[in-house]
Amino acid sequence: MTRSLRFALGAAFLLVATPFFLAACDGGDIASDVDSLLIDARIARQSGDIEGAISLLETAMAQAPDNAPVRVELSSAYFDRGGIDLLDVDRVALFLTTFEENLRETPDVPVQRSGGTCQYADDPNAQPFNPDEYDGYVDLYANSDLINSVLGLLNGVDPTGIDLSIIPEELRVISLCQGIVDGQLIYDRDEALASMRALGLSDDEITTALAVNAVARFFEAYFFIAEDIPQQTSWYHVQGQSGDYIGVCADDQDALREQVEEAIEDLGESITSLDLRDQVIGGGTASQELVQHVLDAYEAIEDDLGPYCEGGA
Amino acid sequence: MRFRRLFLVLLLASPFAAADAQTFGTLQQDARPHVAGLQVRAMGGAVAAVPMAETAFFYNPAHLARLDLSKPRITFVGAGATVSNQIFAEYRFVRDELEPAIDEGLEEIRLEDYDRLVELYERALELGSSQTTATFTAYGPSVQMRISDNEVLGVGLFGTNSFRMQFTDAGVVVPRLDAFDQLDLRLPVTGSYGIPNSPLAVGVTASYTRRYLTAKGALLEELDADEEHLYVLKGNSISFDVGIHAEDVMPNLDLGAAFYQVVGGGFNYSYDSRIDLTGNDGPNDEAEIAALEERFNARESKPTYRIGAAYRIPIPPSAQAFVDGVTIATDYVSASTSEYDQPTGAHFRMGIRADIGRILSVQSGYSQGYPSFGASLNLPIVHLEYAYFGIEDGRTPGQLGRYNHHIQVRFGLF
Repeated sequence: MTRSLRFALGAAFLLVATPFFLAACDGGDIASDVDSLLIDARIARQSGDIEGAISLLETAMAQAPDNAPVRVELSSAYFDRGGIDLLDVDRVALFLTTFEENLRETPDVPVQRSGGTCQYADDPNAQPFNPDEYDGYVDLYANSDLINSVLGLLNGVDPTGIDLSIIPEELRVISLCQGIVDGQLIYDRDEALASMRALGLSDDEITTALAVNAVARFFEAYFFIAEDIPQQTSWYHVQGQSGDYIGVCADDQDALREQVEEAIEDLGESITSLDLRDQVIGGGTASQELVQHVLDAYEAIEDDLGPYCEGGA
Repeated sequence: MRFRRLFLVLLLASPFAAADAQTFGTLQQDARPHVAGLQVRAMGGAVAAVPMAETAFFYNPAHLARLDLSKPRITFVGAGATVSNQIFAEYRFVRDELEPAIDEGLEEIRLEDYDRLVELYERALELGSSQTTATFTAYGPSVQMRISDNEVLGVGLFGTNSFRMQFTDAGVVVPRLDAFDQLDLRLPVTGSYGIPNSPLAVGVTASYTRRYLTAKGALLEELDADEEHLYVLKGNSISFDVGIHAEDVMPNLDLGAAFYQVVGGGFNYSYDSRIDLTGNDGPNDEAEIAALEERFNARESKPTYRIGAAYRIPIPPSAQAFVDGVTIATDYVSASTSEYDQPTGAHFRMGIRADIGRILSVQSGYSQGYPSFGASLNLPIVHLEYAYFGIEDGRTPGQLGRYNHHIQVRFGLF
């Protein structure tokens, strides 16, 4: 082999091998800093690798537990894995508030009568139903632990007690007596938005956080009502002159209001989250409809389950 | 709403054609205006030290001095198209599923056929896992000619229109449409000088670019079936690229380097016009226009570079009757091919090219972990070419790969 041929082969090998070698190295490139982990997780989700994305995000969380974008992305990825989405909220809200003309006449559970009577029991415009009769309820309820994890991500505190909440106070403490007036939500939207932006969240991330929080709060309230109310209740879809609403009978109606207070607050937070999301994305018809459906769900049950409000709010 | 119009308008906004996927994806910086070379694609992008007629304008101005220009090389007209693999599936989805659904009203479907809505969303996100891109290129008149033994001049007119579309998950399975289109009209003037008694040639390209771009980013549920517009921004730029090429620095070994936008290159975008997608007129959405201007004026235009080496493999005399030359090359390209900063290995390119009997050229390459290949039929008055190549839209090779077809034809005196 001549010297020039050896050189030629050497040069050719070097030119060919270098890109292969370096690309192969990149193929195994493991992101280590939080920003790269977040980017790789988003790319993994984009390509459909949910488990890979969650693994990357959990690694990022371990490194920076107070990183708001990571918490938002992880909460969204958890829901992605659980198959829970915003449409489920819409569908359950419609289930809870819609009077079905052709629904069966006999409820699955014995009708309980508050103080011996239930005002809806013999009402021809009242239709008994169970909150857990929703199609797909079992699959949804299987995710109740997941929902708690998501709420922990969006509203958690660190071990030293520092508040890591992503969802601002303005959304969390809305007064259902004074916060909803004539179907309109009263809270400081600008302040709430500013609080979330101050955490370093982009508008896209804020939109995601609000959607995830709305879903989580809604289902937390729904599961409590369907599973955890400590006394027997009977539920009715009622056709009223001013629209459908939900009637509830319990042995102790006042105790029931206290028992569901947190669930009603969760429902309120779900509404404000959807409302603020609507503002961030520009207030289109579909997102306004969604806000309205959840608001309808709240208003449908507030007579029997909502807090007593002085002045009749 | 004629939602398909959004797809088609973006795709066919002009008779010219679209961006090169490599620069098109670099959304974090203003895409360098250039026309992607088909043979460059086929070679995996390793061309800094491989002079070709098509690399002289947009890849390394110093290449111009290396061309065999015993007579002027003139292109009269030409056209090319680059499309990603799944563009046809995405078009069918828009035509057969998305547009009818938006026309019917997503709200109506939600109330009456919930499963259809879920299926629509999931299908959008499934297709959105990879970008859909299309680039159309129009070659106007161009000429490359020697004006002295060492001085060569080139000038041409080019148009490119690039389209990109994808669906992403905006959280809890809500699809978000991300569509983008960019039309560049470019007039480059390249001068190159072969330095006497040295292996070096240098070159510079001054370019004027007029750019039109538009984008639509919205949740699927927010697309307005009655009144949806595309707002077009306009910007101008003058930029200068420089290049150097060294021949036979060692036997058969050439080196090359090019630095892009060393001066200029920035765009200042402002609202120009709008495209009415629904035919229902209506007022401009000033907030959307302001957001578009802010988004694109925030993009940085920063210099990038490309350096490379090429080795011309000696051809045994017995093969010279069939093969005119075989060249292997490697480049390092500083620009990212995606929105993300990419690690070192993703910036390397490798390619090989063989010229067979003066009328056929075949190329192959390897870039970012993806193979490429192509062939060019080079007849005296027509060049017909095809390439197939992959590109990385993610951060590291293998994350979000996208394969593309590129075909073009040019007429001239070559």
